[in-house]
Amino acid sequence: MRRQRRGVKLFCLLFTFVLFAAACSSDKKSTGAGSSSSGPAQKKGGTLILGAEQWPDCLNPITQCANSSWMHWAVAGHVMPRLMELDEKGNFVPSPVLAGDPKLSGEGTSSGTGKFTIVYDIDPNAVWDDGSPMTADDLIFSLDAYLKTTGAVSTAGYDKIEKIESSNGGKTATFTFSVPYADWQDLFGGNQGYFYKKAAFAGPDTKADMIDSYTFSGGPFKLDSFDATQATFSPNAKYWDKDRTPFVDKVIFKPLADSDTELNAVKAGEVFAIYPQASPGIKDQVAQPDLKLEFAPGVSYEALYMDQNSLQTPDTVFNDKTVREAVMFAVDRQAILDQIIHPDFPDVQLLQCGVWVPTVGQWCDQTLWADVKFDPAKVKSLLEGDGWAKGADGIYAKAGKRLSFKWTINAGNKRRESIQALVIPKLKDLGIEAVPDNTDADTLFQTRLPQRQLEMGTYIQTASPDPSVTTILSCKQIPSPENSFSGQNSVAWCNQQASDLMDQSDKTPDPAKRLDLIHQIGKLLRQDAVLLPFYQLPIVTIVRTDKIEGPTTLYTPASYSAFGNIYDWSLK
Amino acid sequence: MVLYAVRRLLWSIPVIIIASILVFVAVKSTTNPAAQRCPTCRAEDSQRLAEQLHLNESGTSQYVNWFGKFSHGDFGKTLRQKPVWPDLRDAIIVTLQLGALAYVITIGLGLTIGVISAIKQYSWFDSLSTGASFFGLSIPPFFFGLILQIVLVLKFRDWFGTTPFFTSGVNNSSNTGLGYDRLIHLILPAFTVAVQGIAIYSRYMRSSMLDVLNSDFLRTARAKGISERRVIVRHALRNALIPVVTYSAIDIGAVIGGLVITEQIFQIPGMGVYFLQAFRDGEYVKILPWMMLVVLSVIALNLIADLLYGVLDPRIRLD
Repeated sequence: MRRQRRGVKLFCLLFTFVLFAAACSSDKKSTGAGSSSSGPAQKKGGTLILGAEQWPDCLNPITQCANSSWMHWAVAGHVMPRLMELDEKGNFVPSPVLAGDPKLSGEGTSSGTGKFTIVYDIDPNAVWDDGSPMTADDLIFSLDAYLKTTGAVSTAGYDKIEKIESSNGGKTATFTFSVPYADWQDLFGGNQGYFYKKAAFAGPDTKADMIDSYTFSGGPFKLDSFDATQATFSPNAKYWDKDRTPFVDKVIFKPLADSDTELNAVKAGEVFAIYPQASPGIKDQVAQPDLKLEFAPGVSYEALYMDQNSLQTPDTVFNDKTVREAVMFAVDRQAILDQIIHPDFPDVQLLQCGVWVPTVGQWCDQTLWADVKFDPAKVKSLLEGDGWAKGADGIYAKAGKRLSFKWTINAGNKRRESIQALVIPKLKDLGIEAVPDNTDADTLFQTRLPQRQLEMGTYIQTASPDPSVTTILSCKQIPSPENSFSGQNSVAWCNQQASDLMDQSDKTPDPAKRLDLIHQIGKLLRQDAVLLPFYQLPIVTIVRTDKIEGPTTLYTPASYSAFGNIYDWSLK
Repeated sequence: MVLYAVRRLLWSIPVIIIASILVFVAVKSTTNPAAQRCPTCRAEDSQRLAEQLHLNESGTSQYVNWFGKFSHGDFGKTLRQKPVWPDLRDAIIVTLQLGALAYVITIGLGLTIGVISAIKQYSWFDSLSTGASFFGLSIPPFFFGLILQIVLVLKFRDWFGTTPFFTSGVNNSSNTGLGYDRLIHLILPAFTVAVQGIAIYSRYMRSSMLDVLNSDFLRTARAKGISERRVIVRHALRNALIPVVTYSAIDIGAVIGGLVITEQIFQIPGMGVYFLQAFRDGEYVKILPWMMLVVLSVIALNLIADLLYGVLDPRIRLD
């Protein structure tokens, strides 16, 4: 009897162990941020073919190659490991490389001065594709590479790291920063950062490495080939996170830069999914039963920017804050939304928080521009209250200066040309003259904008998960002949109080304190009438439902593009 | 003829130098790599990059440095430290594949239609080919390419459940290999390129043939009892080809320059796509050798055309 009871106990123990082991070794996909909503019914194997509307020239994420978003979306993001990563909602979360949340300590975590440290525990199972462990040595090497590579795209943040120490057999890395650095999560991860396998490089200057191949992998896929026609991937057999074991045997990314060809290729079934920019009429173009179109607000926003000290027109009317304010109330944003954006994307809302967007982080204060509505009476009172009077031609003038300015967009952009066609006549009715001064995209973005050769422009900027706007709005970042046109503050807004707040924000790791600082900057931005935000630019994923299944549209609004979770996609 | 060829080659040297200066000035004044959009770049990063790339040196110094290396076959490295030549070479090969196929279709169909139209002047075939050639001349390649995609891929698939044609350069062959897969992917782009060429060559050939067919020496040949077939092929066609050869030499140069629009529509990674991407990226290091190779090919092919005159018409002496 005693033996029988002991046997029952043993059986129960064994049964419990088997259940536990089964749960732990579940084939794949149990839980986790960004994990699939997929079920076990998804088919394994096959080749997934995807279209990329831009194609990188090279693959080194440390050098200028990193400027290509598609380098990250189509290649590096599937192969390279990160410390912190962004989930589909734009939140920083520990990647599978880490055993848990990093631990922050030191004076710099709570104040704007002093050192601070971050301790990262690397998952004991985290290995490179050859089975060798990922260690703090790889992070130490990667730091060296970011700082010492010739032509590194940016050393921002990495240059604040005083040292990285290895302990716990290389599985713990302790970062010491010389000064507080709020955007620490973007280092070796985040939006466009990674870390690299020390053993794969001859030295820290990686300028000649990773040109068109990766000799190692720390992600769900390995890059098998890359050339001007395609990139091919196969699953990384050593990838330890079973939630991200790819379903397919092979992934091919093909460049499809022409938008009509891109749409035709997915319609013809030559590629199974694409991630194109939204364009007028795109819904009608892909109205086909086996195609699914998923729309989401993107990470970019479109706005009207007024250069307060234009080098094209030195006595620009925009150096007068009242004029800028009046123009904001004279532009009918709601009509732009209703007539140009809503026919294809009825869910898009007006953006009211300037240079942040609601779906990226928590930084957007949607009350800032909420008071700005098309209001002819307000335009009149603002201008006439400031001494402007309408001339014989119906255009306001003051002290011999007409209220006239040039408005520049990139010619050929249907959306922006439609905006001009809608807004310019309404401005004229209100006594404001806007003269189109359009130019090709390359001239606009590579010459005129960096050299501030425009008065008013309409273009998009991208909101980063980190809320810093120092590079685009700080006084020190105004491009001018004196600084060889360095900097990206192309509206020449210089509000010292705002610039100081930006500096303070960049040194404040505490998100709550930082939020307050960011909102203060936003208020000053609105108060000075620097720009008029329109909307978040919609982005689109188009998927062939007869070819693939899984959470294919989960990452549509994510920083890593719709293809951020292709490990979860399977063929039908 | 040898002396003529040598003299022409020597004359090419100053032409190439002048062309290289013009190309350098044009490219450098329209690209600004230091001002590339770079959301993550700080001002000091951009400045550091400009120094590393020697963008702060004088224009003359940059030109001398570049042309010296180019003339020794060193095409340099891109802003992203990638050697220029391997990608440029691949783009040339891909463009030559597409260009050669398009050229065969153009010459084959264009000359044949032109000759038949001339021989059967004012027949229904002549009227039809004249109408078709005007259609071919007036339809822009970007539009014709899309029409081909819609009709021969999308509609064809709707009608028959499958299609042998493709919208783009989607294939599994290597970048430059010319296999069956590559060939079938090149059919639609080659026809897109050829449609205007067929129209132009058929008109040229018809006009040229009509001039020759009405000439005295052909009447004499017929009077001597030579068969009509021999008269047409041996005497008329050979003489009528002379102006066509001139045009085709320039045309081949244009092919090497890149079938920019067609390659973009069908995503063929040739010279056109290479140029557009380089220009978009502000990669002047890639654009300069591209433009110089186009210049050199036009010069070389014009020389070949001149030499061919002598072969086609022994009365032409080159000295």
